[in-house]
Amino acid sequence: MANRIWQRHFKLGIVPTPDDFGHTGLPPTNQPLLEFLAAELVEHGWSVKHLQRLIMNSQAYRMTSQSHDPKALAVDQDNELLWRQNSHRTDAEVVRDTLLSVSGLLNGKSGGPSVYPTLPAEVHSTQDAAGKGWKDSPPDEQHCRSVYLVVKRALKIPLLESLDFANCTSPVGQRPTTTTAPQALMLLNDPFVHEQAAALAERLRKEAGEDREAQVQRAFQLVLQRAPLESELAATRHLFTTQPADAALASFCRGLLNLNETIYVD
Amino acid sequence: MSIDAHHLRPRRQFLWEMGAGFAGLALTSLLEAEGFFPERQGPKLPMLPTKAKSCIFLFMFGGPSQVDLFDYKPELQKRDGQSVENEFRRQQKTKATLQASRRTFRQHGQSGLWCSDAFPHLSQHVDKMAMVKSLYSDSFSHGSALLQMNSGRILQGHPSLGAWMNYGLGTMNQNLPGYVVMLDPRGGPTTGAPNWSSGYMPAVHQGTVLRTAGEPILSLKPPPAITRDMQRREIDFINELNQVHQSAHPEASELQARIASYELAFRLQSTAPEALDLSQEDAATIEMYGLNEPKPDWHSLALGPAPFGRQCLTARRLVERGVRFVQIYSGGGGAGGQNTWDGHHGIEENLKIHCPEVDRPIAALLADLEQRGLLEETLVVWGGEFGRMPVTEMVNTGGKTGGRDHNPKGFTYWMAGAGVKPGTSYGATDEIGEAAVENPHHLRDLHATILHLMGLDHRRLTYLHGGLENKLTGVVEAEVIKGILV
Repeated sequence: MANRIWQRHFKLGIVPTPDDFGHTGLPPTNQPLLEFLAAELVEHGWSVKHLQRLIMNSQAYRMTSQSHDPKALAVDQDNELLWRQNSHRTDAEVVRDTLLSVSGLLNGKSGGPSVYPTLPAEVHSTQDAAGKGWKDSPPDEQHCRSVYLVVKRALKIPLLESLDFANCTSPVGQRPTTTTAPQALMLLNDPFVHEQAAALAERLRKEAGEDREAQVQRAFQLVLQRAPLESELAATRHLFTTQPADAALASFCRGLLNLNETIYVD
Repeated sequence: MSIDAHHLRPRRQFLWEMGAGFAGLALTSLLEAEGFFPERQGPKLPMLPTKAKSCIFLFMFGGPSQVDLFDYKPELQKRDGQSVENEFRRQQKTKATLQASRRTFRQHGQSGLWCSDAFPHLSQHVDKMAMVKSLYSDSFSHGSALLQMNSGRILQGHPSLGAWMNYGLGTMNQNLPGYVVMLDPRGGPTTGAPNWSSGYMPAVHQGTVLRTAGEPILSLKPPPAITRDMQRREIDFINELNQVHQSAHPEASELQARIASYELAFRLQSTAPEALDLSQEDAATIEMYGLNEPKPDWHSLALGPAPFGRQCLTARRLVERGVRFVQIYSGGGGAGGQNTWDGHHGIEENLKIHCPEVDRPIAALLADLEQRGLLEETLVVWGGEFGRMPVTEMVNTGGKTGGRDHNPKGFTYWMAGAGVKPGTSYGATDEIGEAAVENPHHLRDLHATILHLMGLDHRRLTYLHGGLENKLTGVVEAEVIKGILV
C-alpha cells in the first residue's frame, strides 16, 4: 500500500512492479525507505493522508524534474534513486479535473450518486441498445470531480479512455501512458474540452476585463501558475493577430489546456 | 521468459507503449529520425513465414445458420418434421421437431463445395474458400459468445483479436488506425465496445470505430465554426509553447512524442476521409459491390446490399493503405429480433433479410481483392458468434415455429486468401448438422489458425498481465487447423 501511494507521486513505485512483490517482480530500489513508509502507515492507523503529507513534504517530492546534473546522469540515468522528480503525465481523471478547476466550472461537492456525463450520440450508438440506462445528469452535476463519474464497463468515456483510463474489468496496478494522435484529437476537439475552454475565456473576461495583456497574464497564472516567458508572449500575440477576433480567446484557452506543462507533473 | 528478460521489461514496455499501434509508428519514425529512440520500433517482423499483411473479419452478428448456408445435410432434409430429443441451451432435454432447410443446395466451382441458393453471388467464389464445418465454442448466449469469438474469453476485459494482431505485428500506415471496426447501421453488437477492446493492453491497440457516413472518427474534426486554418494556427501555438517547455527536458522523449502527435492528428484529418472517399472508385466497382441497390420495401428491417457493400469496399481501401485488421459487423442492435442473424422468429425471413445484404458485397470483395493481387496478402474470415439448431425453435417464440435457436456445438467458418488452402471443406457436423463430430475444433483453434496465417505463433504471442503471460488462446493448449493451410 505504501508502495502504491508512493507510485502515485513519482510515477514508479519503490518496487516498480506494484502487483508483484514475488521473485518474478523487480526488487525495491530503496528497501529501507519502503519499510519506513510501511511502518509509518501502520503506526498512524493506516492514515493515507498522513503518508501523502509525509511524501509530499519530502525533499525528493519537491525536487524539479528539470535537473541535468551530469554526474547523477552518468551514475543513474533512469533516476531510480530519485535525484530529481520524474516528469510524468497525470492520470486521465486528473487531467479532466484540472480542466474543470482552471475553467472555474468544477463542482467540488462530495458524495452522492454517480454522475452521467453527456456523450456524443456516436458513442452510444456502438452499444446494442443505444443510450439504454444512461440518463444525462444535470449540467452542474456533470462538472463534478472525475471520481464521481459513472463507470460502465462496456462504455468508457472517450476523452478519459484516450488518456489511458483503466480497464474496468480487472485490477490494474499500473496504467500505461500512451501518446497517440487520437488522444491529441480528443484534447483538441472533444466537446468537453471546448466547454472548458469557453468557460475559461469567460472567466478571464470577468477577472481581467477586456485588456488582452491582463487576460493573458491571468490565464498563465490560472493554468500554469506562473507568468509567461517573453517567447511565449510572442507566440500568444501571433495567435491573437491571426485568429478571427471573436474566436481568438477561446482558441488561446484551448491551446493552454492542451499544453504538456498543463497535463504533466514537472 | 527468463527472469533477466523479465527485469528488462518495464523499460522496454514503456518505450514500446509510445512506439506501437495507431500513430505510434509514425511517432517512432519521427523520433528515430531525431535519434530519440535507442532501438528500432514499429512494424515487427512476423514470427512465421507468411504473405499475409491484413485481415478482414466479416462478423455475422446473431449467429448465421450453417444448415441453411454451407453445411448441407441430406439426412436433415429427409427427416424434416421428425420428432427428436434435443438439448435446448445447456442440458435441458426437450422434444423438438427437425426442421429441414427450405433452401436448395448445390455444389459449386471446381472444388464442388456446397452452398445454398441463399448466396447466389458468393457461391461463385467457393473455390477461393476453406470452410471449417466443425467448430464449437462454450457459450449459448450472444454477449459471452461474441466476447469469446473476439477475445478468446467469455468475460470482458481481454484484448480482442485485432488488438493482438496490432500488438504482434505493429502498424503499416502512420496515418490510419491499425485496427478498424465498422458497425451495422442498425446498431452495435451485444456488449458493444469490449468486443474491440485492447483489454489490459494499452489503448493504442484497441479498434477504432469508423463510420462510413458523417464524421468517420470520433472527434476527428472541431466544431464547424473552427476552420482547418484556425485549427492549424492553434496547433502551431500549442507546439511552439510545448517546444519551449521541452527544451527544459531535453531527454524526455515522451514530450517530443506529444508534439509529434499533434502533427499526426492534423494529418489524420485529411488522410482518414481520403481513405473513405468512394467517389474515387469507378462505376463498375460501385455497381459490383451493390452500392446502387435501393433499400428493399418488403421488410422494414431489410437494408439491401448498399450499406455492407460500402463497408466492404472501404475495407479494401483500408487494407490497400496498410490497415492491419478490419472487422465489419452485419446485424446490429439488440439480439433476438430480425435486425441481426438471430433467426429465432423465422429463419426464412431472417435469411431473406440478411443474405442479400452481404452476398453481393462479399462476392465483390473477394473478386476485387483477387483482381488487384491483394487476396494473397489479405486474409478474409467469415462467421458469427455461433451457429443455429437443426430443429425448429419453440421455447423463445411462444410456440411459433419456423425459427432456429443458438447452437455453439457445431458451426461453420470460412476463410479465403493469404495462405488458406482454396476450395477446401474441412471437418463435419453430425448427420443432422447439430454438433461437430469429424475433426472438431474449439474456436481457440480458429484463433490459433488466424494468428498462424498472419505469421504469429499463438504460443509465443504473449502479454504479461496480472503475473501471467496471457495468450489469445488462453491456458488450454490450442492447435492450428493444418487441414486448411496451403
